[in-house]
Amino acid sequence: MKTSYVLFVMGLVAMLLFEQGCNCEKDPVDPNHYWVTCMEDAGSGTSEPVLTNGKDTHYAGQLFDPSQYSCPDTSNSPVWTGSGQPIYNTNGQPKPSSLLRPRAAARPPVAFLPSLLLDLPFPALRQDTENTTLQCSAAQPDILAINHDFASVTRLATCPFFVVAKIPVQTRPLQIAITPDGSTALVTSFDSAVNFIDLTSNRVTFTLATPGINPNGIAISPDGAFAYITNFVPGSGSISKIDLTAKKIVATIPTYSYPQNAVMSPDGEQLYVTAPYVNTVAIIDTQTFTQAYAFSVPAPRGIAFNSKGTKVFVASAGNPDFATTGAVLEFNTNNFQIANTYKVGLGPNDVQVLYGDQFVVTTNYEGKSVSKIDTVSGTVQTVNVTGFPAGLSIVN
Amino acid sequence: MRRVLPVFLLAVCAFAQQPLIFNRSVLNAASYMPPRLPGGAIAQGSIFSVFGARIGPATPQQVNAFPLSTTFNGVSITVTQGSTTVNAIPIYVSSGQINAIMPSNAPIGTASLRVTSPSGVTNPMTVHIAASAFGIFTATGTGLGPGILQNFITQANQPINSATTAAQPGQTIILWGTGLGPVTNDAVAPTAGSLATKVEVSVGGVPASVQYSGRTPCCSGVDQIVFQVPSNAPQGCWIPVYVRTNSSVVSNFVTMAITQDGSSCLANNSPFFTPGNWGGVISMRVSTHEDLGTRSTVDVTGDYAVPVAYRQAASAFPFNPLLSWPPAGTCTVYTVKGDLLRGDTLPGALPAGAKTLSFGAALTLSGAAGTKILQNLLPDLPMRYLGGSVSNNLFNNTLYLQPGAYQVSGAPGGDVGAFTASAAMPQPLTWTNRDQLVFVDRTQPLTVQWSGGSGSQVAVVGFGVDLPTDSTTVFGCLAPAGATSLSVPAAVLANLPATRPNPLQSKSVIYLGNAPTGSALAGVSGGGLNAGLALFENALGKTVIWQ
Repeated sequence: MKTSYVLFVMGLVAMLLFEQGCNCEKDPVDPNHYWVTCMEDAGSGTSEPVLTNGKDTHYAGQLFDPSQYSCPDTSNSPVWTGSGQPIYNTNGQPKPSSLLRPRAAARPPVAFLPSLLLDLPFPALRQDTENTTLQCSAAQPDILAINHDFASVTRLATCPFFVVAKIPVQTRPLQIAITPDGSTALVTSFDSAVNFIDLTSNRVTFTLATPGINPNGIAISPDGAFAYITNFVPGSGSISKIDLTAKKIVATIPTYSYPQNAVMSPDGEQLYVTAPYVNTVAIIDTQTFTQAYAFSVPAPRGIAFNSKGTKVFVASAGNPDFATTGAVLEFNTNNFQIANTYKVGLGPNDVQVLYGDQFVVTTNYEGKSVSKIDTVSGTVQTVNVTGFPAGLSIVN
Repeated sequence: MRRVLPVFLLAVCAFAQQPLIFNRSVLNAASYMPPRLPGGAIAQGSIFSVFGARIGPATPQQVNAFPLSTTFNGVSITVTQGSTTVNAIPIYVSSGQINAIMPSNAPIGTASLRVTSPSGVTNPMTVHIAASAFGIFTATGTGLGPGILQNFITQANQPINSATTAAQPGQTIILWGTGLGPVTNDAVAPTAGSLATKVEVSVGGVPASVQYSGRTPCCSGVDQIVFQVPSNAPQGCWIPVYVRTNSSVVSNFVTMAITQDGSSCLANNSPFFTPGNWGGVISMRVSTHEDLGTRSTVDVTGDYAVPVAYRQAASAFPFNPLLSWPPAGTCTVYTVKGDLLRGDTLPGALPAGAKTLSFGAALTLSGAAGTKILQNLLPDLPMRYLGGSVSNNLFNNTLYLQPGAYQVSGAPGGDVGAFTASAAMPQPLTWTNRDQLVFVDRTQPLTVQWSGGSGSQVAVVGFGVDLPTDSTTVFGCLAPAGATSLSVPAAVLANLPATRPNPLQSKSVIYLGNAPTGSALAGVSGGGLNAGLALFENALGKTVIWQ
């Protein structure tokens, strides 16, 4: 099984080398909303994420004012308009090497950005004639993007879009999580380390060595006291608990082989861990740090909760190495029964729930697409993008 | 598009048989208060309920003799905190619910609870244990509405308080609940005697004299509080009652009926609480000043209409949390699971046994801005959108419900026949201290001030929604006609969840509006309804931070 996975990843390498730039798609339902997706820019010779307005390519190091640019099909419309919830799909899959590269999922942005409107029960509903333009502001949060093959993390301002810092970390970084106070980013490195990045100085201030452990997924408790990492190795998958004050591993428990993503329930009482090679999602009770439950999902990848923690959306690729399907399964977190299944693009990887809980967004790696699920109407929009999208952050 | 793929259904079956405690489903057996709200902990020595699947025998069993045991019909419960483990005492077991006594020596603080049943061992569930956290039993079994209170007449005559069996000022009342605090031995019949826990009882906002507060000799874990109805307590069908222990922890709010002579209180409310067909169309404008949690301050206004009709069944304890308002000058509180500001509903909003009635095809609202045909906003949600606006030119202004006269008309073709009603949208109040309300200290009274209102009663409603724990506390207060300010007592604010540092995880908002009276309130003629109302509401909202 692992051999085929390696071959598959190597196959992607060849394709990625020829992918270039980003894509801007008009949302077919919401005419004032555009999807901006990016892949690495081979032409620049770097692994930096890039963003485009659909007409010109703007490299990450350049200032970019979205109000001045348009998608090709609507030359007079700004890129980010409409719902107030623009989506940035940054390059979570940097130029790969020929090495085995476990699939990584993006983490939330550095800090939340308050919404235009709150999710209160008496909103003025949007009409087709709405006139909304997002004002570019330096107050918008930054995004942290992993450069797996370049042992670094890139911090990007989102509006305007430019590189704030490139931060060297331990080799083969995979996933990232931000402490609730926004002060620190924790980055797992497959080569046995967890990097502590001070987000004030944009420097690694501490590296926790994890001998014998190859960290992959990471989640932080809502109180910022503990982090949980998954150990991505065959046969002896495990989950470790890190005391963030003492900066050391305080407990490790066994779990299924190749545990990947770790996602905390909104109340912090449960940790969901995907194990795609055994088609399982494990639920860890954080109070006792024991496995509380598990349920089956064919090749689970990304996971996201609704704001109340009553639903969990699991991306299912059907097969961990070669995606055979694309579905997002909505589970009731009380009984782990499937409430809904949504057909999305092939190989969904990252999942995010937008503020208000109505929309769920996925990047579909093998399908080279992005899907938006309307959980109220049950409809799904899927738009093709250039390259193999992975990594997804929502800027409210 | 929402097809359930059979392969996935088959896949999840692999783990389907493990007994399971549902999330956040270890609750005070009387109040059912969400566990992460300030009053939602499980008290030492109290009765709590566990909800889940396969957690007990298929046939429900209830203990019926002392001494109680830590194992009952194959069900046992452990409560663990660090290296300390104690066993709870199950007193009712079934496949979906267990009632048990939290041992009086259970460790205070956060612990982990697990059930062992004939089906196996459940997942652990976090439980929060306190020395005292009182819950009042209710007739509805939801923690809301009429409490289980007995009107003491004689030793042999102590009827349950209800709308038709009201208490009188000065009468002695026996209140039933659980959570006053620990005792020496939970497994044997309790000894009568007041516990050391300080107990305060409020009746319609008036402190009551407490004569006894301790276990009832009949039943482990069950507490009685004996108090006297204050002579100056307000009167009506739904007088709010709560218990505060140790000067800090506030129970669920329940209601009791009080009349001067103990007669039925329903005379003035009967059309909507007696069997028959009830219907109404509520038209409202809500203008919310969103200055916390948004990129920049916005004023959001929405116009809505909500048609509701149902066939009301007879009830010994009539109560509807939306209609059973406290008397003027008082407040009530609901503490419930879910997000009441996004689709979740109050238990009992559709009364038990009631049947929803449909309206005919063309439900119209006519006013100065023309006629609107009311369309369903969302499936299963009877709220109809009429128009709206957002400041800063974010959205086009499509407001419809300007102050003035309106006619509501229903066509035949549904369960409710053709009907008409005429009423007026009132002018909005002026919220004179709105901008001063930012940080609200839940330990201090909250003052809301306004002008306008043409002498009508004014309602103040506050919401605290905590999304990560899926819980809501909402309070409602009614100011007397002509008042221009209202003070919300600290006890009413006590169970609001604190606003989180990330405001997108909380919904903290206060609404202020006229309580529909006069021209804003009209009877519905026709439609086959025993009673019907058309009412118009013009409310203001403001985001706050509950501290």
